[in-house]
Amino acid sequence: MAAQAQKVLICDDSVLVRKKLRTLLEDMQCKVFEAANGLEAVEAFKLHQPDIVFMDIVMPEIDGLEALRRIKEHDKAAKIIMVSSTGTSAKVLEALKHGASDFIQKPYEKEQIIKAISPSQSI
Amino acid sequence: MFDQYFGQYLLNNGILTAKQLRDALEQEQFTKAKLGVLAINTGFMTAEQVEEVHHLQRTIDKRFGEIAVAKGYLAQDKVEYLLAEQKNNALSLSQVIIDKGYLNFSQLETALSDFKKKNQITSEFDMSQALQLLETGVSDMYLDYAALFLRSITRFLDDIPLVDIKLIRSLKMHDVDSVKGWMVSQDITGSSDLFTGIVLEDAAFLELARRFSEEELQTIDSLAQDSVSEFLNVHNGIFLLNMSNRGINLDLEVPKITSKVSCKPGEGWYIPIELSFGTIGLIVNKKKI
Repeated sequence: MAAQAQKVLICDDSVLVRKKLRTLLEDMQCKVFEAANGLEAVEAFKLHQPDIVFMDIVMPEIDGLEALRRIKEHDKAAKIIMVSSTGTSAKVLEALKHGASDFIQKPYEKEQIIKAISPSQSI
Repeated sequence: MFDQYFGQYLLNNGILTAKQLRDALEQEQFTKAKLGVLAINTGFMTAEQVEEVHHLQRTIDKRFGEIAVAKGYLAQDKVEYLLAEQKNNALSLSQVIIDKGYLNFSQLETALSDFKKKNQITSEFDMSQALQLLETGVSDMYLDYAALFLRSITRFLDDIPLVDIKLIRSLKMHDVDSVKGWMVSQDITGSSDLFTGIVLEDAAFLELARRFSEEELQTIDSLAQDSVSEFLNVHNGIFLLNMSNRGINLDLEVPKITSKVSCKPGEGWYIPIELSFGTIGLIVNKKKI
């Protein structure tokens, strides 16, 4: 079974997105942490050292791309997957350049999330 | 056909690595799709036929279209159609993927076919709705935005939107303040700033939130508010992809929500949309409000 006891950080200002993702991930036995903006995301990453991060882009305080950059500065090996409505080429390219492991366009499908946290997934 | 969506699909499904996609995206702007890729995408030719014509081009000094017509694979009018498509800069990502050898024609054919089946994505709008709007003189960008919004209603809310063109109002008339209800809005910034908003009363608000979130919502609480905001956010994200496909790069701001409609006069439109559970108003304005 994929993702047993993985620590996952969800960073999204949307209560709905966090709720849906939490339910899905907890069903997969993941330990879930949440952040509602980019600043919280950076702090939560340092505090919990998650195995994987799902990061929105359009967020208050600092956006997801800046949070990605700061987390990568702190931990180059951090596995961060962008989950955003703004999936233009420019944004995807920027995210990948900053070290994002993957980019999932909203609305996401459950299978995309399940696949993303699968241990065999290596990009 | 949305190159960006397709690129993400290839990445998400392990068909391309992140490095390959990054390289392909960097090359995309310098590349124009050739007729073979366009023919596969439209279904006019199979990957096998395209391979054969490509092979023949190495020995015959003729263009792809000429050989394909001679072989009976394409009619001349279809060649003309593909040449016109080529000018739209569509599918340039697919061409890069072929050029770099990340996929062969057969693999591309399969990936395109699977992607379309899965996402049901089309660049065509609901033309009957769009033409209705066009008659009011709404500019292209508003028209595209509004037509896409109607499709988002069908896609995400499982409802059939109806627009009475007589009820579309210019924001210059500054009568939107008289509309009662909630306003969920989001600014789109970039080379063309747009203010986008949805205006709706309590009952329609709650039902829209329920349908989008698939949650048992009873009151307009933070989750319900967030659900309507996320609907607008996801829809606007798709609009950004469409614009990006035309070379217009835009960004989204964080959505806002207020319980009182407030909208200054501007250069845009207020479009009432009839749904099975009530009326919602779509505001599209040229500048931030």
